[in-house]
Amino acid sequence: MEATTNGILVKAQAVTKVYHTDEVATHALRGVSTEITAGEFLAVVGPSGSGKTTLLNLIGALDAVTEGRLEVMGKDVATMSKRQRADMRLHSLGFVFQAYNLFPVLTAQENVEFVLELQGISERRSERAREALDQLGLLEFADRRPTQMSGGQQQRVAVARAIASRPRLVLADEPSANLDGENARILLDMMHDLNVREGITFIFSTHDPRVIAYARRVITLVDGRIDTDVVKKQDTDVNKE
Amino acid sequence: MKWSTIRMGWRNLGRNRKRTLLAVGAIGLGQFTLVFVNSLMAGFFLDALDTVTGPMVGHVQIHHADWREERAVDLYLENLSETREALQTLPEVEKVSPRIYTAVLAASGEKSDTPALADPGFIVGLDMALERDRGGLLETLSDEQVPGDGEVAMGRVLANRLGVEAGELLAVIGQDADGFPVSDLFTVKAVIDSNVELVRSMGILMSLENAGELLVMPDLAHEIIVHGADFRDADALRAAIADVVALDAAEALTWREAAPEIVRFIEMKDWFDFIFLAIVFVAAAAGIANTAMMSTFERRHEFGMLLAVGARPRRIIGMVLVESVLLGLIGVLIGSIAGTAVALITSQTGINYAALGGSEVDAVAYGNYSIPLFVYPRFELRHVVYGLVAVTFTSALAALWPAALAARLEPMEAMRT
Repeated sequence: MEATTNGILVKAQAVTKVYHTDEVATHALRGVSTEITAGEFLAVVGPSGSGKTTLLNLIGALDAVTEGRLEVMGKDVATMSKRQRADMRLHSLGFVFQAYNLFPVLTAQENVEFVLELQGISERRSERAREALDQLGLLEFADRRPTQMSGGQQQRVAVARAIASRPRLVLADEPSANLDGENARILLDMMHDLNVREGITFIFSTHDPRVIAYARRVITLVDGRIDTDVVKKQDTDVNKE
Repeated sequence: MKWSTIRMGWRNLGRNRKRTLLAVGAIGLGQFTLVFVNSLMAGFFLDALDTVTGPMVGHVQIHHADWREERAVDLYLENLSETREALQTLPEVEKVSPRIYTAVLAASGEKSDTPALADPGFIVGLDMALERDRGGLLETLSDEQVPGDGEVAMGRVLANRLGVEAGELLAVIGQDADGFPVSDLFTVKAVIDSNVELVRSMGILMSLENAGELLVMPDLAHEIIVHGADFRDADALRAAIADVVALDAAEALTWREAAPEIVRFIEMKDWFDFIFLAIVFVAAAAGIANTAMMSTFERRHEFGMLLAVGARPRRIIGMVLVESVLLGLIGVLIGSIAGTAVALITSQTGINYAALGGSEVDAVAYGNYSIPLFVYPRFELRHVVYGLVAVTFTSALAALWPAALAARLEPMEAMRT
């Protein structure tokens, strides 16, 4: 999959998401429209229930929009089959979840290799996994299982797993929520470095000020709507709306 | 199947060791029972078949075409020596045992003037030397107990009824092959126990020559019992015998035809094997299905994550199936080793089957035969293979449902659990 010619990775037009529980309809997103271009380091912020995670899930083809149109890398997600969506997640997206989410029976290296194997990569798989771990400063933990690592180390393995196949876009849902200040800083430094050096686009859902401080663009959601969309230029914040 | 799937399945077994051990233990116990009990039953049934086809029925029996219907003393086979010689030249034949049979009245020779003490007996004329071999009617006799000319061995029950002991005289009264009354006195050389009920309860065993003289049957016999190498090859043995010219007017029957009740006995064993296999199937299926369901339910989050990163449902199905099949195989392996070991050890030492049930009886009667209850299990590899195939198949089958449930999970919904 490719980005559109003008470098737009995500294009949302009046995206609405409604969850139905019994007879109650919950509007998670109400007409969200935005564009996200390649190379961004973007934080989606807002209070709990504002729709941050829902927006990430829709971009990650983990869920379907109720109304509106959402294009990810030039493809309308609503028209994709379940298998096409799985293929997109596997080959073009990287995921970092809040609770580490590593396979507990695999070592750090095997966790990274496993996703490469799912992608059908057989050439230099082991080396690529070790390179990814090395980028995150985890080579010495390659043979450890998740239970033998700290929370920060586990989250860095999750990032290594997400970026090992060099996806265009990494979606990170509250990546620093369970980390102390030092570990959060190390993790964000590394992700920022990957963004700058390798051009990988990062979208975070967060309400962690430490993440917001790193982001070059911050979208604030309130009640399922975009309240503000701020692009930081040098040291000056610019409100786009 | 990817190596990583097998590796993850294997390691996942170690995540809840207590549950894994319980499931492995249940499957192992099933397989142990299958291997050992089937070996025990095989030993029991093979001993029973040996008993039946050994001394009395043989693998193939030859007699006059009307013998089975009438059992009359004048329905005999002629040219015994010639026939016997012809049969012994056949490569399929291991032993040829001619027999003379007739019903008589027997009484103690010391008290033969007292008719009230006479009792029905059954004379079996046989080749003394041959019958002392393994499986013969006189197998258990010592050299000193073997009847010579003018001597007989008597079944224990008849001897007790008549009050006759070894060394005493026995009087017999009967009818010869021409229908004339005959009688004679014989010395009782031995009183025998036999696993052939007829011999034990009524038997008067004497040499073929003495029986021939008593019944006026020179070079004649009522029946020729033929043994080959294996009772299971009886059809081939009969086909070979059918080519012997001297048997043109006779009937040759395999043990299956001569003793149809034994065929039913074998069929009963086959059903027993099947029922046992079914029990192992069900036990394995229940254990594995439960384990697979529990472990799938506990790992919904993990499966959700797998689907979220783009894993295909078939990969998840493969992981659950591999885990279940490995679980089954470990159980089968342990059960097979234990079952085989116990079966092999007890095949040497034997098991007093009756004593296990608190009984002092050493044999059980079935038709005309006494089947020994001291059993030597016979290990058969096929029982291990049956269990292996059954449990592997069952493991995969039992895990299909939980695997399908896991594969159908919605990633985000599963990750929220």
